[in-house]
Amino acid sequence: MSEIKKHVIAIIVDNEFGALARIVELFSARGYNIETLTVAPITHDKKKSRITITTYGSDKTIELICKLLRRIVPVHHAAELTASEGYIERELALAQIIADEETREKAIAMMEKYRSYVIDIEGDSLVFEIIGDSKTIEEALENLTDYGLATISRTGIAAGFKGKKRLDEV
Amino acid sequence: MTNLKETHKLTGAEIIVKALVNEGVDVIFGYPGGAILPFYDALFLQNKLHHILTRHEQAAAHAAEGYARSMGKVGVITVTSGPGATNAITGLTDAYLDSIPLVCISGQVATGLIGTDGFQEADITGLTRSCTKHNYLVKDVNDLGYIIHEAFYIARSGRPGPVLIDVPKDVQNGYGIYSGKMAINRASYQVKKRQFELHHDKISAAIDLIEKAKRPIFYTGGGIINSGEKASKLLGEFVRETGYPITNTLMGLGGFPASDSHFIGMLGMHGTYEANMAMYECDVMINIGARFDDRVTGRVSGFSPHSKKIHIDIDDCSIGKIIHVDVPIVGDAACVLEALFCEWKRRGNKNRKKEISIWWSKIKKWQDVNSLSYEESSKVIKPEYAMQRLNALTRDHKPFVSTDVGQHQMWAAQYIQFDEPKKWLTSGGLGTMGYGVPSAVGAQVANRDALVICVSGDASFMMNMQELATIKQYSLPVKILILNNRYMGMVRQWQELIYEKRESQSYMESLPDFMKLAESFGIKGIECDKPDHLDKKILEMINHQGPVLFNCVVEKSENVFPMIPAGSAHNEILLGSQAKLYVTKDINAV
Repeated sequence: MSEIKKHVIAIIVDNEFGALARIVELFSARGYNIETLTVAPITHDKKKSRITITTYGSDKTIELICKLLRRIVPVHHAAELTASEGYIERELALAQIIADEETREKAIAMMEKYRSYVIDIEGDSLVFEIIGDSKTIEEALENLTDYGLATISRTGIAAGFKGKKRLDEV
Repeated sequence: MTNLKETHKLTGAEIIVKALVNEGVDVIFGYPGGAILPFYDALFLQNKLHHILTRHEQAAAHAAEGYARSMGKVGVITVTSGPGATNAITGLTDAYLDSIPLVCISGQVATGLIGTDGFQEADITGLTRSCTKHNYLVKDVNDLGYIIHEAFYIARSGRPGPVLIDVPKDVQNGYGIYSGKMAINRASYQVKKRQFELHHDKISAAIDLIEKAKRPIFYTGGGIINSGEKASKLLGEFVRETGYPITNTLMGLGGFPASDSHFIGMLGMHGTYEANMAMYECDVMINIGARFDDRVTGRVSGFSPHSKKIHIDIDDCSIGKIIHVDVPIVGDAACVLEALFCEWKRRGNKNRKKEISIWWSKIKKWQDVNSLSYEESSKVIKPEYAMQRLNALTRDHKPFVSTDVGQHQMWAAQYIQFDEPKKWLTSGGLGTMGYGVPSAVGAQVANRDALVICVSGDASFMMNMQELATIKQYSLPVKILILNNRYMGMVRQWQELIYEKRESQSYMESLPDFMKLAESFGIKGIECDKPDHLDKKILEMINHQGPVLFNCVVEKSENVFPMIPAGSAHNEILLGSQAKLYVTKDINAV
C-alpha cells in the first residue's frame, strides 16, 4: 500500500450550482475526507471560481482524482500543488478568547509575533485575526489555549504555485 | 411591439420538442407522469418525434441504449419526476459504465416546490451526479434550448455517456425564447478536446515497439465500436497488415471480424484459453479502447508480466488507472489507428506473420486445446450447443444480438460470431440483469427490418419481462431466446465452485409457464427441450414474422468454462475438464 499523506489540489471551475458537488463527490466516493476547502470567484464577471482542497490520501489515488476532476464538464483546470514544485499557501483564522483583563493583555502581547490584529472586543471577549500558513495558524492557536481560547473559525488554505507557473499550464 | 415578440415565444415543452427535432431525434423512449405532462402534451400536438412507450423507466433507458448502440446515435428518454427518474437510474448507470450516449429529460416539481418534499419529488440531479457525464437543473425557460443542445454535444463527444436534464413543470409551461440549434462553446469542455492532439513522438514510440515485437497481441475494446465504423475498418486493415493476433473484450466483440484467422477469441474471465495465454505471454500489448477491467486482467500483479504495453484511450482517466503502461496515447481510436498505420507504412514495414511464426505456432497449440469444447448430449440441450446452433442458423441474417447478464451472456459471447460492429448489445461494465429485452426493443426500433435476437436467462428475463407489452404494441419482431436452466446460473456456478455447493437463493422456483406467458401478451411462444428438435425450432423462430418468446430448456447445472478463478492470473485459467482444480485465490474478488 502506498503511503497516505497530505495533498493540496487547486481547481478552476465555472461558478455554477452542482459543480462543487461533483468535485466533492470524487473524494467522498473513495472514502477520502476533505480537510479544508475554499471556494471563491476569481474573475470580474464572477463566471469562474478557484477551489483549493486539502486532503489525505495515496499518491496514486490523488493522481486519479486529479484526472477525474479534469473530466468534470465545468472544470477548466485541476492540478496537485506539490512540495517538489513549490507552492505558497495562506489561511485566515478568527480566534476568540474569553479571559480577564490581565490574561487578555498577555495574549495580545504574545500574539504580536504572529502580526495578529484584534478585530472585535466586547466585555471579556476578544477576537484575533491570524493569517499564515496552516502550520503557523496551528501554532498560534495552540499558544492561545492557555489564554482562554473559546471559539475558532478557519477559512482553510488558499494556495498557488510559486513563481510564474500557472494552473492552466499543468 | 411586445405582443409581436410574445408570439415568437414558445412554451418550455415546445422548446424541448423543437430542440430534439433539431438534434435529428426521431424516436424517444419514455413513460409519462405528472411532472412531465406539459412535454407529453406538446408531443401529442406534433408528428416529428415518435414516442415508444415502455412499461418501466428502466426499460426506457435500456431501450435507448440499444437504440444508441445499434444506430450510433444519441438515445433519448423522457421520464417523470421522483419514481420515474429514480427508475431510470440503473439504465443511466449502465450507459455511464459502457460509455453509451444518452440524453434523459426528467420532469421535476415546479421550481417553487423544489426542496419541500413535494409529491413525486426527488433530488434527481443529486442522485444522478455520479452516474452521468453531466447533468442540469433548468431554472429559466430561456436557457432550455441551449442546455439541450449542449447536453447532446456532451453526450456524444469525447468518451460518450449519459446526460440528464431536469426540467421543472413550471419551466415546461413557461414561455421563453428558443434561438434554434446553436454552436456549443463551452470553454471548460473544450480544454478536454484539446488533449486529443496527437503527439508524433508517442506514435513513433508505439511503432518502435510494434515493429520489433516477437510476441505481439492486439487487445481491443468498446472504444473501437464507439469511435465508429472507420475505426473497425482501420483496425481490420492494420491487424492484417501486421499479421498479428487480436483478442476482443466483451464490449469490443464485432470491432474485428470473428471469422478472420487473426482473431483468437474473447479474453477475460470466460475468454478463450488461447486469448488469455497469449495475453500472459506476449511481449508487446496494443490496447485500443479497452480499460483493463478486472474481468479482463484477473489478478493485477500477475497480469501479462513480460510485456511492454501501449494503451490508446479517449479518456486519460482510464490510462494508468489499473495497469502501468509504457506508451500512453490519449485519443480517438480511429484517429490514433490512422496515425499508427501511417507511421508503420512510412517506415516501410511489411507483414510480419513470418517473423513471428514461432508465436503463431504457440498460439496454434493453445487453440488446439479447444477450450470451448463441452460434453455433448443427445438427451438434454446443452446451452453451448444452443448458442452454436443459433449462430449457425442466423449468421447469414447478420442479426443484432442483445443479452441479459449471467451464464447465457457468456455463452452467447463465446459461441456467437460477430463480423461487424454495433451488432452485439450487452451490459458489460454494470452487468445489469434486465438489460436484454429492452435493449432489443431499442435495436429493433432503430432497425425495423433486421433480425434482432435477445438471448436471455430465465432469471434475467423476469427482471424486465413487462416489455413484452411494448413489443406487442409496436409490432416489434424481436426474438427472445431464454436459455432456461431454472437457476440463476452464474450465481449457482460460483456457489458450486466457491461456496461448497450451498445454493443459497439461486434456485428459481415457480417459474411461469412461458408458453402461456407469451400467449397472454399476444406473442408467439416456442418451447424446446430436445437437442434433435432444436434446429427446427430455431428456424421456426426466425421465420416467424412477428415477435417470439422461445423457452429453450437446457441442462440445469452446466458451468461456463474456461474460467479464470477470481483473483487468479491468465495462465491459471481452468478448462471445463479441470473444474475440480478450482481454487479461490481471493475471496473478495467479484
